[in-house]
Amino acid sequence: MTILSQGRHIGFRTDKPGLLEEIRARFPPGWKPSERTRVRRVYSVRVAGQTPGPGPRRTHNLYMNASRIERSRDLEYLLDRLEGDLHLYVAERATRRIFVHAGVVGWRGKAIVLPGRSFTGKSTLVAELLRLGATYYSDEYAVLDAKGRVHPFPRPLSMRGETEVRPSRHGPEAFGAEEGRGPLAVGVVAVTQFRPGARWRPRTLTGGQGVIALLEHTVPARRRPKASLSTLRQAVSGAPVIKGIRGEARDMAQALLDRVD
Amino acid sequence: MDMRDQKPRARTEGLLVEDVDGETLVYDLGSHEAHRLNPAAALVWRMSDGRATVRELVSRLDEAGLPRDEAVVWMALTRLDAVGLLEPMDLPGSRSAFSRKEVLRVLGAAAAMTLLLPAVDSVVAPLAAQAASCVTPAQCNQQQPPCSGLPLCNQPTRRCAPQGATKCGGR
Repeated sequence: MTILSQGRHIGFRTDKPGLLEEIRARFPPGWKPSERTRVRRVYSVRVAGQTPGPGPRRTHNLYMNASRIERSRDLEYLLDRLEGDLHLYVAERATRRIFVHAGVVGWRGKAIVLPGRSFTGKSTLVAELLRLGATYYSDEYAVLDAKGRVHPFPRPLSMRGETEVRPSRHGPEAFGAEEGRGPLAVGVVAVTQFRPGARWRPRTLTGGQGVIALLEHTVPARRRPKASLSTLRQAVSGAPVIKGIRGEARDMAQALLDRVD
Repeated sequence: MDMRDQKPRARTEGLLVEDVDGETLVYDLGSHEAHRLNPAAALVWRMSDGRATVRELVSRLDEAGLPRDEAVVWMALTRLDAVGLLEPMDLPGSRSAFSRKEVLRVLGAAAAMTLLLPAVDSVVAPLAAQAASCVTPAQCNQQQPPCSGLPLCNQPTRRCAPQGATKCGGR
């Protein structure tokens, strides 16, 4: 099957009947079916034991076009890998939007943007904001249009327990929240890192510092630097960018909401 | 020749420039570095047109609310030179010779003046995979199969994947 996501047509195929449904669950939010028969990127999942041939076949294989990009005996792992590669491709090659690696929630008609890499507690903070009544936009990407507004990218929240390697996934309703619908202007950008016991005492960055801080998490920064800089400048033009070390998510979440109020 | 008679020339090729609230952002298309110039550094950079001498730059410092002292201009030029935003020129000292502390001492100014002094911050724009989810090698090594499958932050072309039955590592 072929889908259209962020202006890109992407194909998928597998030799195991029924697996497309599992793959479909990992498509980027907002995808649409496509009728395109020729695409630049095709993902193929070959499942162990499905294809006849000589020798034992116990590993599953993931191909991107003609290149094998992963092999594993763990099909779930292989599908996680497909999802990661697919979302990154869409984030980097989106034709009209700029993807910034960040958690996003909506509050009082404004977006709270939390840029950061994995393992910095981004999803935990997003979940805490949802418990306090915010609407869910994303725990992975802030999707910005040319006016600097944030669009929803509501893939299920990916929560990692202290001992879990593979994160568990939850819809926003698990935190008593709903998905956001329309684009929002940015209300505040908070650049944070978790440190146990730290007290949240952020400093406000200048506009230029704010753009630089977001650029460090901007997926197409190298591929589309002009559009990235222009979009980030728009995003922070009416919003403070604050930076600091945070302790527990609960303590910081309320302070962030107060900031937008 | 007196160093103050030099005519600094800002590099202009291969750069993208954006103004944000009086600051200037410069993206170097060759090195993929992004630089933030505060108003004082931006003023000196923009005045460095290859025609104005260092002396003349000093005479225009008050446009950024700074005292007309050549230490301030040299401070800006050493910082701009260090990040490759100037054509090569002779400088009277290294960046450390024009540290904030030293320039404040020369000016006899209060610490509050620090924010007005020329400043340049730089970051390297990330590769796409670096900007997205990633794990450090140490985080990956602490995992056990099935492993997270995320790219390594320091080597984004490699993934945290199973290495044997009990370990995870970059692959």
